[in-house]
Amino acid sequence: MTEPLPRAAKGDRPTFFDDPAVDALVTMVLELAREQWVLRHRLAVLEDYVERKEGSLGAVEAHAMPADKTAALDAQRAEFVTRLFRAVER
Amino acid sequence: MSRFVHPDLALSPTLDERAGMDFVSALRSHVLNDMAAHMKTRWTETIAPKLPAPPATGQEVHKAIKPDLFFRFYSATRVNAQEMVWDSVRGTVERERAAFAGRLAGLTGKAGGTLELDPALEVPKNVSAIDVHLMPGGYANGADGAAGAIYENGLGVFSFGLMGENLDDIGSSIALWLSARFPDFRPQRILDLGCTVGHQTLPWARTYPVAEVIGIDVAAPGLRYAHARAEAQGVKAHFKQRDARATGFEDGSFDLVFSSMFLHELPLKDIRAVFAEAKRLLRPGGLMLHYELPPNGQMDPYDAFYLDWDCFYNAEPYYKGYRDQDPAELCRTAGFAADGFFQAVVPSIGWYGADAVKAEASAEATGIDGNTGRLADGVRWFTYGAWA
Repeated sequence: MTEPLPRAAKGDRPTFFDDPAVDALVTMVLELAREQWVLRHRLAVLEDYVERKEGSLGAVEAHAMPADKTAALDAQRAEFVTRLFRAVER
Repeated sequence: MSRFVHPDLALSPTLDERAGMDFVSALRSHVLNDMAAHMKTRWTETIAPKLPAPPATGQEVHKAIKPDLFFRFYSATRVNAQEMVWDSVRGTVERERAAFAGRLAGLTGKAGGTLELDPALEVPKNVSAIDVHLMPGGYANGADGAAGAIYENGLGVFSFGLMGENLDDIGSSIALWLSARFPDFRPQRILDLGCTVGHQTLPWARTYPVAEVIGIDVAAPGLRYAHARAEAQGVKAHFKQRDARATGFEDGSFDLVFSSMFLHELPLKDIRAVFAEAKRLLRPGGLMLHYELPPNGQMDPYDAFYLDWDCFYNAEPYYKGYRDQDPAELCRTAGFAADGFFQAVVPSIGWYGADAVKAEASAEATGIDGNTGRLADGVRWFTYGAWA
């Protein structure tokens, strides 16, 4: 029986803040950020698909985005990441 | 399909998994480019001027910057991004794992390379007991090639394009530099130590097509993957499960003994053993060559601190111990002649282009700077060697 791939690395996680709750909150915020991005990306793909084809949503999984929209999304993603750190990057 | 992975080995992440990987790459790019630049500015303009005396070492910089709020956010974000690298590919590998073993096996025979595993080989503690760079399970996890798939797909996310389309920028840049710098050196037999999935092994077979190229590692999953990857790419190379401290090859049986990002994952006594073994393996006129992080002794204190961050926060316990060594002294101690030592800073072929790599080979050697060995835009690779 193959063991599932482990989720966490061995050893203690490094912490950086006086209150360990802050370290945990950083993780939560980053996970929310990732999920927020994933959803936003998916929505963009869906919108593009519906806009052009008005077809079944089942085809969305394999849908390839046009290069200009991918580039726009890439730029929006970089902007989103920058905004995430506005509280500490000034 | 996973990025930077050959189609024969590529996974099929869902749309959401792909977007998650791209997010982590963008996050890492932001941390290592933008946040790193901001942290250096804070250091130079705000933190350093308030100190009673300028720090003389990276350790002193680390101590002085540790309480800074931005350092804490930089570090916490970088640790999380590192964990998210592996997490972003784990689900896809897990889902496709059962079929993947068959896909790996099916690639054997396409290019004529071989795979030799040794189940009796004892995996050293520095590999079995530590999940280096926070990769859950480490290099040796599992009996199949899944850990190799985690490593290659994870590296694609981790490197945000800086390792090139084939994740072999280090090997390709350095092999091109070496062939241009020493055109009369034409190795017939080449050994890559600690090769993992063979990213930096195959450029040697491409650069010196008549050479026999062998990659060794103590961890079987990476070797299984490396063999399949080489076969898929049509590059003949041989992968063997052996310990670089005692390889079992004959005296004087190689012209080039190479390693890439390997030494800093070893305790110092093992590094010395590896160098002595390389000396034993080389024919007269042969070359030991390492791609590595630049040594602390040749960097300013801030840049030394910046690279040593991994030692404290990225499960790289031997990193600083290695970087505190003088490469020339390590070579001399292993029995290499002092006048046979050289070092170089090689531009990334993907970032600067092949002409820049060749130009570097024919110019006066460039010194180490803040971009050397630092994975960020404009990276340059540090390498050093000693002739036997």
